[in-house]
Amino acid sequence: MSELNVKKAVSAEESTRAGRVYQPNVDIGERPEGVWVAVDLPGVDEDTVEVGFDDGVLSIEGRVALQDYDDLRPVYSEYNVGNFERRFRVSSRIDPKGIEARIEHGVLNLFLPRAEEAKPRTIAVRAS
Amino acid sequence: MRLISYDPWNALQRLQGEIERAFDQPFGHGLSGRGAFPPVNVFRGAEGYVARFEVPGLAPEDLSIETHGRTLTLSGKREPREPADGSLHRRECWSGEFSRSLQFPEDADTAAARAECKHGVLTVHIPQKEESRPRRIDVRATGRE
Repeated sequence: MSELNVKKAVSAEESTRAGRVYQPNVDIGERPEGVWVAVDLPGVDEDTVEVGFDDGVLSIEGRVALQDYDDLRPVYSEYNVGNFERRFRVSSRIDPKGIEARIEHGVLNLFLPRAEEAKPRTIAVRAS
Repeated sequence: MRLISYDPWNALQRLQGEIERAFDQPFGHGLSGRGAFPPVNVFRGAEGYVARFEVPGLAPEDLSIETHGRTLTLSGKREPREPADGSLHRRECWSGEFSRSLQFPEDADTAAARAECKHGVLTVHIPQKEESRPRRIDVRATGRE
């Protein structure tokens, strides 16, 4: 099997829950105003998504809707189904109150605005 | 009476185990797309087959499904995220054009397939052909009773 679609399982020591938990794929970028994170969470109901920011660590969790699998028997499979969990240490100073999150078509889009004092500033040099 | 309590975590573990066992199962003919985007799982249900593709970031209008005989083809395109300003630190999400074909067994009525897209997952229902469904035959008494 190619590595491309093999979901990375979160190691057992990290989870106290039964069932395998997977690391979602992410794109991360930075703008002068802050950091953005896009997280692929296919099959996750928006009501079960939890985003946390504590002591510089961004955490994302989401649960798959299991009822969609009632009375279905797998006959061929390429991916496993499980809850998602991932954590990142964000190096920039973030304003936690300003974090924005929205989910669309199974992708969670986060924007973490830089804290006022951490924003790049231009200091005018005056001739004396 | 025996009480069975529903435990969603056990249900998840059971489902994960069943899916894992199906990783080694062949399906149809010529399907060797493991590792291709979008990944698919195929299930059997009471009504027929259910194919479930993980297509995060794609709206229903970005997807096109065609059926021809026993073959179902899903195609589409996921645009890469190109930030207009600033820098990109990490790119793990799949993007690009794709086309995947699945060939279903004889009893699948692909012409009657219907599809729905929810939370970045495309579900295609392919009913079992009427003539291959199990049928109940009534046994009538003959002669005198």
